[in-house]
Amino acid sequence: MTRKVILFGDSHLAALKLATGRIAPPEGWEVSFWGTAGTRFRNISWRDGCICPDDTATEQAFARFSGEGITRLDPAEYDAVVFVGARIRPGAILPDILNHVAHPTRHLTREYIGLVLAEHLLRHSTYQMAAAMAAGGKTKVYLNPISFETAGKQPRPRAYKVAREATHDHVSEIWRLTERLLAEDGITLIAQPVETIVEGYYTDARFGVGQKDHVHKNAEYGALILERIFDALSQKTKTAIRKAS
Amino acid sequence: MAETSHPYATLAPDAFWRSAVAERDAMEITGLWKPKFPITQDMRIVTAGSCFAQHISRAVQERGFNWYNAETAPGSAELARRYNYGVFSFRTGNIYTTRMLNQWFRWARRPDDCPDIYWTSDLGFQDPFRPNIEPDGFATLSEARASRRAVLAAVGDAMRKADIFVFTLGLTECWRSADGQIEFAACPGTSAGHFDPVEHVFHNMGFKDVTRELSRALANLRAVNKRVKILLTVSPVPLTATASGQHVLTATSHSKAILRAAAGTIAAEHEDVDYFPSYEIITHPVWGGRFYAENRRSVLPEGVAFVMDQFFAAIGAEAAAAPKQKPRRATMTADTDDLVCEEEMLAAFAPNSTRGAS
Repeated sequence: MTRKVILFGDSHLAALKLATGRIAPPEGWEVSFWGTAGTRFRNISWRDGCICPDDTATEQAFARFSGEGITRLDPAEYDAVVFVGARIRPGAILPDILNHVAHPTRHLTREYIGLVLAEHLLRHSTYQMAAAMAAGGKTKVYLNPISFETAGKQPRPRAYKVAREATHDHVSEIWRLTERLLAEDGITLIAQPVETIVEGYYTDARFGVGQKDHVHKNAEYGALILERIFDALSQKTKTAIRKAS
Repeated sequence: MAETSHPYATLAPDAFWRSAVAERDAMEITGLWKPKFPITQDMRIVTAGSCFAQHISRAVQERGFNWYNAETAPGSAELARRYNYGVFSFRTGNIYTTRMLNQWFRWARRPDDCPDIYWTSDLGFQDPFRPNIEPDGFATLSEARASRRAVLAAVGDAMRKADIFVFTLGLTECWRSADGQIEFAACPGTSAGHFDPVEHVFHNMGFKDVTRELSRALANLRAVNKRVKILLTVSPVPLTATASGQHVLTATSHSKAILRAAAGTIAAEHEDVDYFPSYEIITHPVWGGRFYAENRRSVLPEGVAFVMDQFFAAIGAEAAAAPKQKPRRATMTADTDDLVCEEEMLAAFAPNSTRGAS
């Protein structure tokens, strides 16, 4: 039986799309994409248990990217939905958290960090859509948030001096807390691999694109994420098989 | 006719009750405070003390002054405040007594002297020296310890970096360990912990106690920061409850009289210590109790605004800076009930509690 996964997101989907030739999906899985540039995300909403464009222009914008004539995302049609990027940017809050966590004399309790992360996530309508979709129980929901900015390409002066000394262990701890939070909403986190992170809260320049683009990532990075997504789907398949037997 | 030659003859109008008070509308009384030293917007202001000191923290920030937050936190201002970040310059919670202030300053300088004691409850672990600082308690002892180390580091940082240290004296009544070595932030068993009549002893600080502990606290402060100036105030908020055996009203008068005298005495003895009369402005009969809420305890936003207007006028900052965020009065109106005040917890234990009004 063919299983269907849809990767839904903003321009950060591009890296994954570019990598599709490099990584094969798990056996029996069919992959499709539905997304558009982030600005159009202002014009989508959660209606009747689906993610729907609010106007024709947005519908067309999504159709252009997916090329598959999908006009809305109905979770009932998929075995898994992966939110990719989708305007959810840990880089907006993690440097400040890491600036405290990596500081030699400061301390934030895990509970407090969890609340800061939750507060940040819940500000995003796309996160609320993911949570609503997971709560609906019709599909399995995954979230791969936007990666950190690319090292060496920042247009602004760097802030958060202490956070730049944060280790992979520090970031891993934040990912674990995020994973737990998402799990409470029925969502599985596909986090940025810590081995792609440098200088505390930047993405290694080898995963960057273009000279002036400090945001998007290349196919190599996309392949790393796809690999994790497919691993997670494989786990889901194994679990389903175990349950069936 | 002989020339007038006595000292009163040349005094300014504000030295005479008739011209300074009786012949004026109460709301037009000015010049209540003549600052000993300048306070400018670029100076780092550190605030600590009882509930009322929180108003000073907010007001100086809203006027664009350089309020120093030595213990910052990520997240929204609302979330941070709920977890007691940004209430004072460090996350000690309210410091009601001069002994408690000295205790924090001493431990900040010598963290190993800070006793490694914590209370346990259904909420996990609580810090006896700031029992409500983590609203749901610390999940583990190691987190409670790490947080204690962080606050001591922050107190030490603020002590070293302060240009102006503002401290509001709140109470004389306190609870200590039986050997008198440790003072708790509140009576154990009220907002946190369990009361043990053998281990926990009531103490009502007298004038000598208050001045001695305040002097020691300031000595600890000056030991790490020679240039710091100190501004003392006394909280006009009456006691929620007294364990002294007196009526709470007379106990309040007793405590506040001691605190006011101690603050005035220390200020008079030191050039770099000043006293700002927020206590008088709120409590004095001239204003007829108009700044108190119906419970005759909580200070109304207009009272806080009047106090702070006097403060900023005296330091020449009336028009120095527009409020950075929302209009001040509106902010205070909205947030008055949110002041973090462990002492309020006592009211919950009072017989026939009527704390709803506060």
